[in-house]
Amino acid sequence: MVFSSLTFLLLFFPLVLLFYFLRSDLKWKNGVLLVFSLLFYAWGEPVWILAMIVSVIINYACAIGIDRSKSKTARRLLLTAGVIVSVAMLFYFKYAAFLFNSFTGIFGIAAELPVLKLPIGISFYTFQVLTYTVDVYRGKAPVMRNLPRLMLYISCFPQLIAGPIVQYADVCNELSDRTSTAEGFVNGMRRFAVGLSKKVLIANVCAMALEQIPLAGEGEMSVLGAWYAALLYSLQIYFDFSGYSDMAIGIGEILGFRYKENFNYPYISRSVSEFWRRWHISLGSFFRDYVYIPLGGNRRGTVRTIINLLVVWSLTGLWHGADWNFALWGAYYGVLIVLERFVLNKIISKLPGAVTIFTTLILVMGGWVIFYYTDLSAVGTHLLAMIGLQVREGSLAFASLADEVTMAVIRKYTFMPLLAMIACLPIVPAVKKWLGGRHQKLTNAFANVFFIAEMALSLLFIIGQSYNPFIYFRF
Amino acid sequence: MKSKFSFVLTLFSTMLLLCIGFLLLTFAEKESRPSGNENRMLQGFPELSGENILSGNMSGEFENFLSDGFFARNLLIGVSDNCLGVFSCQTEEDIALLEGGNDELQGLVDGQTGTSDDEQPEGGAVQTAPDNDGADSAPGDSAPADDENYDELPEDGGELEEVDPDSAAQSENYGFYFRKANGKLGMVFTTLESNRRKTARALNAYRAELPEDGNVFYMMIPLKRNYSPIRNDDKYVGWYSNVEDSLREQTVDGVHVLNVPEILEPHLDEDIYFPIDHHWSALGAYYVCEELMRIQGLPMAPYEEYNYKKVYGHNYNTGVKGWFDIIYPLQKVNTTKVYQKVKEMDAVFVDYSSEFYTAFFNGRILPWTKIETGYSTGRKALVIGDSFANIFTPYLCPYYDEVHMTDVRENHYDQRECGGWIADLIEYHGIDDVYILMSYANAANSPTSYKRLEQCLHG
Repeated sequence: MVFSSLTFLLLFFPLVLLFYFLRSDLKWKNGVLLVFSLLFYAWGEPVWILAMIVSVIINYACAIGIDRSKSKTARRLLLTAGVIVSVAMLFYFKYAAFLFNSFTGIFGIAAELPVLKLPIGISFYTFQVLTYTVDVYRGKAPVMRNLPRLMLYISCFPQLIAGPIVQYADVCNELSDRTSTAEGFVNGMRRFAVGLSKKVLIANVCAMALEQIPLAGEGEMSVLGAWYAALLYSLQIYFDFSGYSDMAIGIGEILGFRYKENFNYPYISRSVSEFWRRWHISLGSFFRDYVYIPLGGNRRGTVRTIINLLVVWSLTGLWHGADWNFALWGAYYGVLIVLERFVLNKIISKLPGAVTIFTTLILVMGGWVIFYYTDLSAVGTHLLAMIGLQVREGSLAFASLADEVTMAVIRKYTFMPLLAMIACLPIVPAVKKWLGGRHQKLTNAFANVFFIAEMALSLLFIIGQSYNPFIYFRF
Repeated sequence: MKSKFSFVLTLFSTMLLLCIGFLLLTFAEKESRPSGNENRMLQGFPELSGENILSGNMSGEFENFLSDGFFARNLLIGVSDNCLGVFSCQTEEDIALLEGGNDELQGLVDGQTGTSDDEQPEGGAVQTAPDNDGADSAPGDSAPADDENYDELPEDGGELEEVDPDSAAQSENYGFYFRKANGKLGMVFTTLESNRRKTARALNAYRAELPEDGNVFYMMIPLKRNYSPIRNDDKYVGWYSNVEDSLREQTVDGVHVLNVPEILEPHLDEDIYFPIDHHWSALGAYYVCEELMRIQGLPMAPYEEYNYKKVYGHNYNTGVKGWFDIIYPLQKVNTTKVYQKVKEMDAVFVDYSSEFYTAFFNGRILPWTKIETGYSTGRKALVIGDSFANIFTPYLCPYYDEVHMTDVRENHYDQRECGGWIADLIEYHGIDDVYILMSYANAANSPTSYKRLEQCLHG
């Protein structure tokens, strides 16, 4: 089920709230939440819920074993077992066919594994299960002896299938002690409405525009078409994913959970490193805490730091999908971040902000082009078109500057991409800072009107426009 | 606490959503039904079976059920479209360019490059024209209604490759030509042997599904853009097609491939095309039907005896205006849309108020249209076609008890909506004759003919 579906908005979500607030004791609330979360997951893919339950039960047992065991070796063995089971499931569903088929393809062996249907959210809940076992092993968080409560942590529907990745240590207390307030309800609903409108009114419209531009492999690309498509996709993926995170954080707030922010205006970053501190923050934190630092981080010299960074970024790329373009995308950021860190850092700090923001944006848009196409030759065609070139009859030639279709799309979708670009800027925090707590009544009234308008327009667009899948679902 | 009012408002909004949800569950139409506006089946309440739930299909169907059954759905779609268009700077040319990208355009692209599934072009300037039936919907639809929006072939025909008539008779040059005043032929497009072979195979497959005395009639109809140059430019004196010869060589007895350009050539100076869009007129369709009946040894009432209404229409994209005839069947017919094989709902044969080609069947013949003609002949016909079939069908009514219609273009024929593949439905309805008529956009090099026709027969 997706948050921007009518099933969720008109039935599931209001029913969750109705039952959730029917009684005030936490046992009831957790019970309601667990039942509805499992239903939420099972709604689209009832079979794969078993994979999630198995993963949780094994890690539950491993964590209890780790907690009880006094032997360091036994604790390490149990941790390894938990990690292997979780990672093996992810590997089996997501990477086995890709690696096997790549191997047979390279060596010309006539064998092929069918690509399995990916259980929704497996990349997210696998990481959450891992954080639980590892946090218990590290003594960072207490063991959870209550299996349904652990199941709730993993399956809690706001963050189950598209994040943010919630680390166990951050929410373990809230699982057993949390309060929901009227203010939390209002703020949460407003945040949810913001996320919904980001997704439905902006991301979906950008997707509709993008769909109409001739992309690589669909005809000749012009320079304008290549840039406009890259811009639209950059906007779409940001508003799609940050909108989903807003909705998750908003629902969490209503239910009494405090999820950390997952996005912080990434398109105003002055460097690629900063971009990744502002984009999908929970994923970056996970890789930092559970991969980069255990590998030694930057404590073992320059060469090892570079290797660690490249490993982490390759994994980050592959986490997004089992295809060569994702590996390339990860490696692209790995190389950029290494370059920034060891070569360009001083230069970047001396350049004017506008220049560094613009350069970062260009690099990020290039990254999204790699991310978009699973066909690497299409990536090449698109990137070449962005620099004004194309391959014609085996040799390089100049691409046309503009094409009629792109011009028509620009004229058709004049407003939304413009609005989206403005919405990428931290205008709301700036206005809040400027107001400094003044005009509370006015801002509250404005927020109410905005909330109603966002909900009504989103509902209208969900019914009226058919494009509605979340991009991050496939991860 | 921000304010009590904010809390009440937010709570009220949430509960309002729940109320709408329950009202939808209670009052939304539970049965699947066709939508004329959207040209598809609207989702009914999903089947509550273990298989449907475990496969995950039910969730998607339930979501579609809520969306398709939403109160004032058409109004809301219109409002959301208008909201999107508020700040748009889109021009009419943009609409034509962007909305024209339907499946007919796919036929155009395939035709231009001359590629098929398994073969490269055999040479010659392969080129077909788009049909753009997507334009046949209701006024306000932004799709182009005029093939002249596509200017591969200018009004004067442009400079076409000139070939000798002998050269055109060679297999690799089977195609459509303009006859030039100098005795040569101007090549408009050629067809691929593999496409002709597959089309012929499909026609034979249809014949195999019919009773012993059944017939398959196949007609490829030039678009208006294939006609305009002859009217507008003195250097062209007629047209010529030999694709049909090739098909005839490859088809079995009972399959009749009509050479429509040949039939219409003596009438090129008459108004055989609509003045306001790319379709043929009632008169053009009449001439072809007259030939069909002659082949079958059946009489046909003179053109003047049919019921016509002169309509002053306009093309809502180009603004072109003009008079044209809308033909009514000789006697009152009963028309229904048939879906899921056995379910029926009333449909309009001719919309008396329309000023467009959409007068017929609201421009759509989906998923399956049944016309009870009121005659008693003991025979039933199936017309498979694109929008060019709409103005043709009234002429068939006197010869059949029932005339069925469907459309096999990509995204048009859906086996689930129709309740079976065409072979099943031919058997179920007891069809005797099949008429397949496509404009050049969907015939010649289009996958609609060489692929979809056969796909939709058996799946």
